[in-house]
Amino acid sequence: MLLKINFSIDKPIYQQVKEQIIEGIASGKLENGESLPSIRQLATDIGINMHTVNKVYAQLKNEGYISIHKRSGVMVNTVNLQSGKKYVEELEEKIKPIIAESICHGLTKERFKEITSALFQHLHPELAS
Amino acid sequence: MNSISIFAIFLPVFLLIAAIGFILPNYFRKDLLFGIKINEETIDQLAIKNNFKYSHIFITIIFLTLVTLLLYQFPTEKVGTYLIFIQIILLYILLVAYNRKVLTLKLKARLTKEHSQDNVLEVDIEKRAIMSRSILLSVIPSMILVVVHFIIFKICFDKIPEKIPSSFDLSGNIINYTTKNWNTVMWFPFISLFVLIVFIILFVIIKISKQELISQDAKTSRIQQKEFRKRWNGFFMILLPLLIIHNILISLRYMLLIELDKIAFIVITLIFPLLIVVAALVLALKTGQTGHKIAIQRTGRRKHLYYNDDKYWKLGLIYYNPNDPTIFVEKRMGIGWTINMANPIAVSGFILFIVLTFILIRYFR
Repeated sequence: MLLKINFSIDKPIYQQVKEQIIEGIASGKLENGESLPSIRQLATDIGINMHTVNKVYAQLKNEGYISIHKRSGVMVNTVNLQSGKKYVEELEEKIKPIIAESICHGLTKERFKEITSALFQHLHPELAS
Repeated sequence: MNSISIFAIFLPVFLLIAAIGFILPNYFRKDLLFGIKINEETIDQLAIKNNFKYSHIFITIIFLTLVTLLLYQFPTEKVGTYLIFIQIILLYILLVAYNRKVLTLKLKARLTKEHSQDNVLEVDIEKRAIMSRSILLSVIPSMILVVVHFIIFKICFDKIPEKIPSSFDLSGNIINYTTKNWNTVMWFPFISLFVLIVFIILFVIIKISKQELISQDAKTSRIQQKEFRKRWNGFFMILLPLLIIHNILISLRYMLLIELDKIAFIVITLIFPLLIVVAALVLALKTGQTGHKIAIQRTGRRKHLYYNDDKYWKLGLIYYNPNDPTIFVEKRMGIGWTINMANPIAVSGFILFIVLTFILIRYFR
């Protein structure tokens, strides 16, 4: 899988990397159990500080997307991910400001739904249908 | 040595370097022109490349005329070797001059363009192991050969005559003698050990060097990169034991432990090294930096992506990026790798290597 890092926008690099790895997992480009590059390799190829990559991996690990072992390295590990009550609460928290923004922009509920289902379709066609 | 045999040795080298300089512009990565990241149509690449070639031919002709005069006057190996260095430096000066020229052109072109493009980099996130096991197939037998080399020289030390050759002429006749002592004898196994260490470093470089995909076609570039690493890895794996065997044979001849007839001597001392150089060149040219010359089926569409990291490349030759943990990175102009001059590990490792090499030579000579 290829990551696309844009150095010209304001979004921090660690966030770009993190979001794209999660997208990769969602779309199936990164399978459960698949190895991810070492911190050094990824930092070398992007040309950024190792702390930045370390931060990405630490957050992904905390949020349950990957596991880090001393010997086998970094691996996609999604077995602990659940769509339980706790996650839904977090999700609501994250979506709330976005919906608020949409309302301010005059977006209808239907249009918002259309956009989300199109994105669902884009990321994972099977799940969306 | 007379001037004719000096010419016979050095002229092919001068011509080879001249030829490399001449074809070098044809082997730049698609996104690079004299070490400057370029964005397709903005610059007339062909004109600049041809311009470079004319300048190069002009300089080469003047240089070769001077070389002929100098070697005629001073037909020594030392003068010839210095001249090789001068030729390489001249080539680099010309490359840097063109690097500056392209940068100026690029900045002009960018100013006239209304919006400059976003700086986007695509990175492959497939894991690369630091060492593949297959390397051991080459490294372990080579280690054994090095040990055997030391053992032979230790055991046979007493059998070696008191006077041993210090140089041969082209057909294998001894010209000079030197006295046998620990240094003059053990120098040879240490060369074998040195070769082994250099190759282990090369295997590591291939694995851990920065992978730079060509922005316009990252998907194709990614496959080419893999093939590039595989080919060089394979080449070095075959070469390592051969070089050590080669050194063992030569050293046995120096210690007068074996006899070599004229043909065997020429094959070992001239033809074999020449074959290696030719093989390395053919591989380098067929593969290209980052493997961009490897013909594969295009897997992706060409994109208008553009990643500009010119500011980290000083004069197009020296990579200096303090934020980058990279140790080894592919050269932008030329063949092979260079180091990140802003990385303390890279710089200290490089200095250590140079110092050790120097000590090795000083100690034994």
